Amino acid sequence: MGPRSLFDRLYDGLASLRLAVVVMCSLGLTCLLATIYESKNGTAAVQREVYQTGWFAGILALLGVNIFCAMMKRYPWKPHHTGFVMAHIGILTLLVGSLVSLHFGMDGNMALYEGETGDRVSLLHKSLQVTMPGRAPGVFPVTLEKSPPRPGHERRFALPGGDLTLVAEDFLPHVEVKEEYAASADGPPALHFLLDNPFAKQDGWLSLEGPATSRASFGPATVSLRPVASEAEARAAAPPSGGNEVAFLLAPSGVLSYAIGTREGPGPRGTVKEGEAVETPWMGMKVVVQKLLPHAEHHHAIAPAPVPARDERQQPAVKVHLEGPAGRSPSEWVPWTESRVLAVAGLGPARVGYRAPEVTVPFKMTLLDFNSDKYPGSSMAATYESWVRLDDPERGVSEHHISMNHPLHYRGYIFFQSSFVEGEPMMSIFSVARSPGLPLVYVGTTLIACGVIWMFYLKPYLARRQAARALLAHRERESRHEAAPSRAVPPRPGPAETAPGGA
Amino acid sequence: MLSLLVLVLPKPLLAAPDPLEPLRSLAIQDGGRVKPFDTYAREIARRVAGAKPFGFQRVLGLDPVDWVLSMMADPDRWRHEPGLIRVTHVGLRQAAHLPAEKDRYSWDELTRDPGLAAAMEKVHDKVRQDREAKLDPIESEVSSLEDTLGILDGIFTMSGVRVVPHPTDPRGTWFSLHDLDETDAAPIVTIRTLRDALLRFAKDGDREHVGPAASALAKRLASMAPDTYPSAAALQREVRYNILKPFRLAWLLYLMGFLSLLASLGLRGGGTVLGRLGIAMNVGAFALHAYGMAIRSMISGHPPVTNMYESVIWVAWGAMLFALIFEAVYRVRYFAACAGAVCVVSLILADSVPILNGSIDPLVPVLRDNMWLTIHVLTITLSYAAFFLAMAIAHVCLGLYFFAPTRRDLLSRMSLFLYRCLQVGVLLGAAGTLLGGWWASYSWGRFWGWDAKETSIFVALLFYLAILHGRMVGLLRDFGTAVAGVLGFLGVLWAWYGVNFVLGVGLHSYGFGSGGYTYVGSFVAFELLVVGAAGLRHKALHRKSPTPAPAASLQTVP
Repeated sequence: MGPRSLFDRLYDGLASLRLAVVVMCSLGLTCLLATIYESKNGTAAVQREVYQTGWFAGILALLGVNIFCAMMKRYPWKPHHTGFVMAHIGILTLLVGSLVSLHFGMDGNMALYEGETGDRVSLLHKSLQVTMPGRAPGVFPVTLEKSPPRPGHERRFALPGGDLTLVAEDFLPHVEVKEEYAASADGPPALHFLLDNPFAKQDGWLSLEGPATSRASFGPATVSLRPVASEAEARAAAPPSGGNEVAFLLAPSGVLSYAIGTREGPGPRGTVKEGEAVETPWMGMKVVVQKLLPHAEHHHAIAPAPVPARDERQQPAVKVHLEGPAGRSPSEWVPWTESRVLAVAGLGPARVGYRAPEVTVPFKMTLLDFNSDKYPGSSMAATYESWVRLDDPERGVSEHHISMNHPLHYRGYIFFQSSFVEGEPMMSIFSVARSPGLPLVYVGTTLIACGVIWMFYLKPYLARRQAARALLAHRERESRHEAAPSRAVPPRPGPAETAPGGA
Repeated sequence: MLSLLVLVLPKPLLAAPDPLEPLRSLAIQDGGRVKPFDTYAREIARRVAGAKPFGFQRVLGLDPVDWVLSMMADPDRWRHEPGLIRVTHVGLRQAAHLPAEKDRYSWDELTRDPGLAAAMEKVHDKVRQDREAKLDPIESEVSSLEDTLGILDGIFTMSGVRVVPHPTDPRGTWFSLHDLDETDAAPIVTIRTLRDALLRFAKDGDREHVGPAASALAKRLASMAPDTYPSAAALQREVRYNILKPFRLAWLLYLMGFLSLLASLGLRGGGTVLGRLGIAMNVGAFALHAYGMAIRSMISGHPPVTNMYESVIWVAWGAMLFALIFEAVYRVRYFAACAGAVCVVSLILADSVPILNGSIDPLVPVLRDNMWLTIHVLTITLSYAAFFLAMAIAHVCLGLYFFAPTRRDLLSRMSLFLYRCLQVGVLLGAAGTLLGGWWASYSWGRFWGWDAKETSIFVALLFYLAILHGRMVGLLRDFGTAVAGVLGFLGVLWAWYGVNFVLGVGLHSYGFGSGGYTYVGSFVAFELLVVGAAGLRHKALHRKSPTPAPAASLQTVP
């Protein structure tokens, strides 16, 4: 068997309808199983394990090759191939367009509080990031869920510059992160409390480290801690105003007082010791002072937890350290979306983050206002809408309105109102996408639709008309040559049963 | 047949004027929209007493409006009324340790039941821990029963009966009949007096005066917010829709049309008269069906394809639309007969199955775009319609193997008809899916994202495309196409029902629901049995006499 005939056989095989049927059936079966997998494991998991894998791309590529060969096999095309060629070129264009979008496009999220300005979009995949003052940051896209690092199977990432390596040594698919304080020689005071109401229990820490750690809000009430100069000042302090709040007041002597403020006005006050509970006026809620540390130090505790079935609810964590020429840093667990500071011998501190990579858009967006409208008399959302201002160094300042089904198309980016977080101020979340392949996709889909219509309806119609003309011509010929023996009428071509391009 | 019609015809068409009419078209704000009191009462009756087949929604023998009025007028009696609330879910009754020997309980009994209270508390706990937690079927039944008890309480105390329009804010929450007790402003006092009069008449059973009292009350309420109060015409239109039940009339007519078409096809002489009569009845039912959907769209303000109930009705209509178009071309009565069967089955299901809830609810934000909703959803569901019709025709093809194996001519014709339906389905399915991609690329910023719903219809389309291609190379012949026509519809059913009711994942989350597993499961099992049996039969026939070449069979089409 010569090489030419081998090539022919391969070409025939790739162009065959049988291959098309096989590919379509296996693609269909894969997708069917994938949707079932998705319902068990979540959207992110199915994207990672099926739709974004090489083998799935391989099936689609095989379909593309099959269509391409099937078309080229029939080249040069004849008029009756019109519909067939249109539809199949359409599918190829669609595939190419999707590929272009996949490679040159982006998909991400941007969350802004009312009044906030931003230009950074976080992408949808995960990455390990290392930043160090005076150095180019290192960003390494990772899918640790797929091939998790284990002791003995570490994953190493060399930073730009070459002398520093990030080592991922262990991985947990789901962790609980606890913010904790432990007694220390110096450091600000910290208080561990428990909110105990008939419906739920919730604990937390307050610390005088900074303004953010000295208050904790829990929907119905706020708990806060602040220092006072003396017990007398604690007794005289004005109760908190502007909502339900339990304020703990700590005197230098170590005596802890409390003052309760309610929406209606001042509430009870008094002193409390470690292990005692403060009764509040709200639906039988108590605040228990579990621990009071005069000097405390903050640290995170990571504990492996049962993995939730749905991917979206998992919080993975990766254990990392940095290796430099002069030695390595201690290891630290970094939970998803967080970062930790590691000190490398001889090089100083570096921040290692496990979070979504970010890209910057070439303009700044400010969320002017967000509005979520309810259907009258119900708690059902009717619309979400955002008003934004864009500061574009090239095109100047403009204001836009973004709502469901009315995205903002701006310089190739599409901002779509995807979600929001209730609060004061409200946070609006936009999906941000850029799909440069979209024009190709639009052309492709139009070609497919026109091609199918042509194949199913226009082609049989044209064939019938041609047959009718042939019949007419035949009759005329017959009448002219009356003496000639009459012959059978040319067979009427069946409408769609002749395979498109199957000739 | 006529007596059947008389039985099912809406009563008001035959009976004397209805004393409750003014109350029926009183506007009430409920579930995110303003609706007539009649609709409100029917929805509550369905909730409390369980869905009754064919919409004979009565509670302990009372008309729903009569019943709700009576509950407002005499709450103490109804709180203790035995057997008021129907708890159909056996799992729920066990989980809540309700008395097992019955499925109907009084309001009092349920609100005091410690087992049920504990079950409710468990659900609260779960939701408190995770606001997006997915409730299992029993938990959602518990939650729904709790809502039902709350709604009834809202009627007993009248705090849920929001019929007093907000005088200034057109999007504001309306006030309830209970709120009237809180102010002594002059117009409110008048309304309060009218309310008390209405309730007094209702309690005393003075039906003669209930109507005028309700009428006066309605007039006063409308004058409180003349700009935002819905027009009397709009309210009466919805009441008429409730009473007329156009879809029920349509399926009755479809049924008669189907039977006469069947008779005409079975008669030796051709049965021309019966056939014409059948087609005429189908056309009439089709018009009535269209009228019902038009009224429904006018009431809801969006195309009638936003939930399972509406889509079942729309798909049935689409199947008949295609059948009538094909009839105009081929004039064979088979299309009309098959589509008639599709319509009868679909509309009876819509009329009687509890999970197909016909209430009109507001749309989630993403669907509030009538242009895209119309273009994408109507196209994609029309492809379901074509595939549904194809499935019915495929059944006829398979039936021929059993009952008329010698009618090769008929078989090849039916096979062509099946092929025609598949073509329509593939064209509309592909167009609808691609249009969905356009909508998604416009609105979600991506054309295709392997979302469960889009992937599922893609799978069904691939299957049908494989059929069309397989037929070209001779992998599939008449029998194979018929089998594939049935199996392919199971794929459509998966995309249509399965993704929303079984999988419950993905971005098309607005259509999610639960229930109906037994119905759909037995349907799928039955279809698989049919296909299996037909396969055996075909094998047996084939052994006796090999079929002629398949390519020739299609050429015999007239």
